[in-house]
Amino acid sequence: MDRETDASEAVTAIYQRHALGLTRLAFLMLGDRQTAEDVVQDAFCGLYRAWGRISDHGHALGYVRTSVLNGCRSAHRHSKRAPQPLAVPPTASAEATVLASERQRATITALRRLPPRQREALVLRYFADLSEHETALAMGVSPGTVKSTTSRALAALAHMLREEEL
Amino acid sequence: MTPLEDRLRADLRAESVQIEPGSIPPLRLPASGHPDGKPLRKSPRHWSGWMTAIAAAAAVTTVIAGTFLVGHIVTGSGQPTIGEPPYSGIPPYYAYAVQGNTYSRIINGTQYGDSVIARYVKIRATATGKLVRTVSPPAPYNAFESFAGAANGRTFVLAANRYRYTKAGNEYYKLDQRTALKFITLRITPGGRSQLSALSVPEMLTEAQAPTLALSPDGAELAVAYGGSGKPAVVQVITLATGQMKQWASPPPAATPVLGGPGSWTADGRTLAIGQMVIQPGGIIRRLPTQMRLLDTASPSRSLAAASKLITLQGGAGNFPWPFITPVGTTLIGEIAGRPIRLNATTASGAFGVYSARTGALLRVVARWQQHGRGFILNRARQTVVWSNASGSRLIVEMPRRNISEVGFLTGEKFTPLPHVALAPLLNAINSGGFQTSGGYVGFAW
Repeated sequence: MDRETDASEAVTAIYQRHALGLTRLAFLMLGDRQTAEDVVQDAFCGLYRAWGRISDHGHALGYVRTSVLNGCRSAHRHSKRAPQPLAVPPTASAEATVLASERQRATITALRRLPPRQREALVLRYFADLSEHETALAMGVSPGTVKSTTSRALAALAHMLREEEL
Repeated sequence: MTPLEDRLRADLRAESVQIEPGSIPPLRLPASGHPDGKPLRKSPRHWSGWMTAIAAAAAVTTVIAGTFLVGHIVTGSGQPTIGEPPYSGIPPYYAYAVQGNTYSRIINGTQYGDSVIARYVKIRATATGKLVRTVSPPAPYNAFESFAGAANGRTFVLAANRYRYTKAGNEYYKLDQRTALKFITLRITPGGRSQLSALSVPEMLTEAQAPTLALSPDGAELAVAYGGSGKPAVVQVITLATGQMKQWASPPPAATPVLGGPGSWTADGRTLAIGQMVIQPGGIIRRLPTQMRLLDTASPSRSLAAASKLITLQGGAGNFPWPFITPVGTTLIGEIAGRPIRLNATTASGAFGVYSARTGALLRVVARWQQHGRGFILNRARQTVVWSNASGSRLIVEMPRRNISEVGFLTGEKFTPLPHVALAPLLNAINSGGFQTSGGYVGFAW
């Protein structure tokens, strides 16, 4: 079996195990399913290309998770240039949106109003259940920064939700 | 953990389940990547234009004949750009349904939802897997009843239905059985762009009628079948450009006519292969001896029985076959279940049977399979033909392999998976789920 086949099989195996969770993570970051799927696909293509350069393949998931976050930031910047209704997935009908839980909708809307770094911290900590250390690795910052960013994000979220409920 | 953190965790999880397991597209790695990390060199694109040779295939395929480029794999445009011989002549795009919630509510901290199999329809390029379009039902519709593809490879018709808010007992939402279905046409241009337009059908069709669809090879006519099982059985052929309609009907008692979308039309657009089933009160489907009705759409008669010929497939195991006639119209291909698939069974087996369209005689059995497992896996086993070349010597099928279903070419006994149509688990879900209420194989249109 050649090196290319090895890489292909290994990356495909990781994709099969983690694509759902990573797509959900990207979806929470972006609010757009199609873009989330594309970001995850690109991240895995990047992993495939970089496979030979990764010394410890046990860290491949961390690598691809960071790529997904980078892809989300990039997609977010593009969406700023060409504004998209971030709070509402474009594939959801108006009726489905209205019918979704008011409380859940308020939380997600507030989350998407946070700066991207704060949103990342919350999604990684409370959706992906990563530790502060793992979150720091994924975001490329120190654990202390994760702690302070998370704290600020929670405070901002609480403030927005209080305003929403008034 | 503070209440805010609890709420955030719960709401993130609830939001994320919009991405359903099994709905993630297959991984599309570069065809000739460089795993050492060197940047991929872009292959020169040999755009030789849409192959006219495919027109020949278009003339002989039942539902869609594809148009393909000869060239190298590229990604990003959504256009099929691969010229490997195995892809030549097959449909350039395929459609499939994506599961999703029509609504969700949280009552006393518990989320309730109603997930439907066909919340969205996605169109992808067969050769690359590239997503071309996700189609949502136009408000106030929120699900799809059925869809079908046409032989030009670029036209799909989708029928949308609606779940309505209700407060009957514990039910909050119910499928609207009375409102007219909304028909939409999706066309993909040679440049790979997709265009949606509303389609008017002369007669109001509703969810309760459970119509099944089949687009003619050129995409100009839409066949619709409904009724039977205590009501008149009706088959209509509607010319999309003019709205002109031809109709054939049989009074009760008549079996429910079923169109399979792919595989229902012969390439000349004259013969329609129609499946037969009986739906008993309560929605129970009684399996008939394996039968298909071949309707001559040029017949002057308006009687379904007089204008068509009933073919009994001999040697089948009595399973209801989705209609599939080869483009030249000489053979029918159906399902043979070697061992009935039952709840808690540990072994299932089957094959495809190729029958004479003239007599129904079993000509040969191909692609025998056997599957070992328990319950859920076996219950989901399916085998279906979704495309054929002119003579039926080369098929695209969905069939169980290694305890999952796979989609791929079947040439004689040789099965070759289609790597970018790796949707077999999803297809199974479609075939065993609510989308089948239309009575047709509508989860996968070519």
